[in-house]
Amino acid sequence: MHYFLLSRILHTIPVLLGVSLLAFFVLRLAPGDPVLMMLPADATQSEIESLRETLGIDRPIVIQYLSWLQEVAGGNLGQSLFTNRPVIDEILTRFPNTLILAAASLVLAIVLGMPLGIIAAVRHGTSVDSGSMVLSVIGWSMPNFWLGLILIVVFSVWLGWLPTGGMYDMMAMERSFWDLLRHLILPAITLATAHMAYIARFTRSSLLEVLRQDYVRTARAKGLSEWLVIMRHALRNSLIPIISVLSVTLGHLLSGAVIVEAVFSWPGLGSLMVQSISNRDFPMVQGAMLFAATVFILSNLIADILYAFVDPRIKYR
Amino acid sequence: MAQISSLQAMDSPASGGDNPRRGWKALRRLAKRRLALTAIVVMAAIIALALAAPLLPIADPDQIASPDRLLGLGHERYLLGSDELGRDVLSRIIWGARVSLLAGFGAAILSMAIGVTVGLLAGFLGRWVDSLLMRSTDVVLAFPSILLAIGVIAALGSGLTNAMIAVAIAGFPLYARVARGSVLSVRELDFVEAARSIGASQLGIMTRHILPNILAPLIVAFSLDVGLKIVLTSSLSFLGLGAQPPTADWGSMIASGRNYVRNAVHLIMVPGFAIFVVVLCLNIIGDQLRDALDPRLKNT
Repeated sequence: MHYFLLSRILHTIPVLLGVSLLAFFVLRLAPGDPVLMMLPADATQSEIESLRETLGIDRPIVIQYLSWLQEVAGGNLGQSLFTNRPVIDEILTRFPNTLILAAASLVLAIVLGMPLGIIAAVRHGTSVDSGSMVLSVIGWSMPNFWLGLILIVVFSVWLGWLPTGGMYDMMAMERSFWDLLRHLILPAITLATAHMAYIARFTRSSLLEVLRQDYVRTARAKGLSEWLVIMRHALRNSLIPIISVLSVTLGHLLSGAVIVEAVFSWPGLGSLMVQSISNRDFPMVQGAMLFAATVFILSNLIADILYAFVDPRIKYR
Repeated sequence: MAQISSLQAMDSPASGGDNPRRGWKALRRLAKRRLALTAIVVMAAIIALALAAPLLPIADPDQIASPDRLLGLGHERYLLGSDELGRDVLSRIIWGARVSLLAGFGAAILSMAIGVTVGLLAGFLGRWVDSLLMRSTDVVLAFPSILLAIGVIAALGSGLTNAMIAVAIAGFPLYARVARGSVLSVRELDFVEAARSIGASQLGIMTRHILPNILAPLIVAFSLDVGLKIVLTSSLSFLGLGAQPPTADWGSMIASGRNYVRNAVHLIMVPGFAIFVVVLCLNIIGDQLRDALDPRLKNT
């Protein structure tokens, strides 16, 4: 087990280095002088020179990358060109908001998706099965920005039950959990829908696979009720692969959050990135990309380790 | 999002196509499925409408008519209503189909071209080429796709072509993995050995012998992926990073319509429904095609 843990952690290092390379070089893809691209068209010569010096653009590219990497390793992602605050501070202010949204969506997707998948598998081949699978196809075919707007129209504009966007009521004297919850409901449902469909589908296929195993047949043969066979024998084992799915889902939630945050004006990492592009704030875009990818890699790492704990066969593969 | 499960299930040599005729048989099987057939017919009708847009008796999609602003559905001159500038929504939807479908299909084709090249080289040449290419692929996979696409757009600038390139770059690893897995299952077969023994070049073996035999899983991957690409490119247009005004594109139509949800909800409903129907049809076709090509993957 220790060997598995160590090798899995060591495998993460080259991927992290690769991610840093990509995050560094992707913004150098642009044709022309990167400094001119970052500054407004009417920037003065002294502003251009000052930014050139700050970024160290005149040095060889490898040296630029290595010194940037050294700074990044020390937690310094540079300075925002728009707010002049350290990029890492901006990211750490916004990331918890994205995490709240992603976590709420993940919980919703699991709570609704897994029972749907279980029901579909247990009633395999019936109209309940086809009905729940039709629902899941509809769920994942729906663009989340459109679904978000529909929810806003129905629940905020027509019914007036929930706010149209933001994280807290701007007019409220103090921030309350109830207020946060009211603002969270619509974006969380929007973000969760496609993932719920995915989890439902995965749970169904995983459970169907397990229901065909010999030990399930044995459990049935010894006279256990169908409920016990499913809950005690089949479901427990079918849940193992779902752990890996959940880690992938977390990455996709971070990705989907970009759009949902834009629809609901949710002040998270995704909306920060979109704003940074229109502000031409490249250190911020770069920092947010690097940060999101690192979170994604680490969540995969944790999922793999969890997986190995839950399923002892993994470490021998 | 939608296609993750299906594409991941394909990411194995087991789905490698070892018989080119299987593709035709699968297509025949596909045509016999009612759901798949319905989806194909709807998709074909949408593509035909998009292609025929210049020939149809519809208004100019960019023609502004201020007195006719924000008319609702079913108006005598505007079947699907008009937008905030008095432009005909029906006309913009049909012309927008050209842009949205082109962006989605273009991004998927580009993604497949990059991915197949990487997967072919990695699977066929093996050793350090394989390690280098597949580790690079892992790095791209480590980025949530839309974040990487936004990063690329930050470098290249906004616009539909750049959005297509960005989405294609973010999505190529799935094709690379499917192609590599299939190449590994095909490269040791007798016909490859035979081609090698008669002196065929490595490039010749890859393009003439291996590529045609790994097409089946790639076609399925493509059919499952193109819907996702349409959603991604539309999402970028919605964020203002893809198609730019006044180009009629479904994503940007929703973006401009969101300011009028209180009195003209059709401005978001109509283009959103168009994206939904197209993606639904493509997902159904992809799913059914996968089942028809490889029944072992059914229920995944």
